[in-house]
Amino acid sequence: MIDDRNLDALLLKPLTEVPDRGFSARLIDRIAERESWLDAAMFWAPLAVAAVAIPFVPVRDVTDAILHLSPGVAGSGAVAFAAAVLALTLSLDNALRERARDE
Amino acid sequence: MDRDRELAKLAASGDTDAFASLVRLHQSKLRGFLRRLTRGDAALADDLAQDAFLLAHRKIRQFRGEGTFSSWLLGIGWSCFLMERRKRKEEALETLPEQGDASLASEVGTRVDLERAMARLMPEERAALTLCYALGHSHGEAAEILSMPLGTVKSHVARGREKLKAMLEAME
Repeated sequence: MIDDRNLDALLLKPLTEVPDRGFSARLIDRIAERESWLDAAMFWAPLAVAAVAIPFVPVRDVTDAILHLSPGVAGSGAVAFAAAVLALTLSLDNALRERARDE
Repeated sequence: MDRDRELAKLAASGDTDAFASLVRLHQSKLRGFLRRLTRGDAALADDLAQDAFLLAHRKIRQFRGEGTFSSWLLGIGWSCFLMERRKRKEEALETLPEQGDASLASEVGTRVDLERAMARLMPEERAALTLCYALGHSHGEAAEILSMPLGTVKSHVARGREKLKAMLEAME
């Protein structure tokens, strides 16, 4: 006869231990495989896009524009100030990240 | 557990060894839970466990450590089970013949009867009973893992218990 106490005792028995038998190793191999595939995709995809796009870029126009603008940019106080702020922000961000990682 | 949180944090920063440790620590629990959900189909349960771990690896940054890692992982396992059930269009996991779990063959008596009776319950009842009894979670934790309202989990537990009792009595 099954009463509530017997049923509880049966249900409370922990699940049978499942031996690993290479499960974890296979899974980690799959993760590593996927990650290396992703790394390769991240590396090659921009290169492929660039290779396809470069023939369509008006290189001469871009060079002319840079040559035309560079003297003005180099002598601009506002640009120098913006660059300094950007550099400070990046180093502060980096320092905060490192501190968070150490904690 | 603090160790799990620490490992999850390391895994989130890209440490594959830390994630491997989490897999080794939790594989038995997750695979055991999924075996019960799939009514002892070890191959299907392992496929689902693999999917769950892969998903966990992809989403590890979303684990904020509010609950335990184990609960979070079981929740992902339950979602993978539900997706598989939907994929099989309910054909399925409920009507498939029971698989003889080799690990049960060596066990005797009531334990085997319990597994047989469990296999006839609805998956939601099996999941709720397994979480609340064999895996020792509270009703609240089970509700979070299964993404169900607390009241629904309580009724699955109560209904499952009643059904089990009747089936086990009939088996005697």
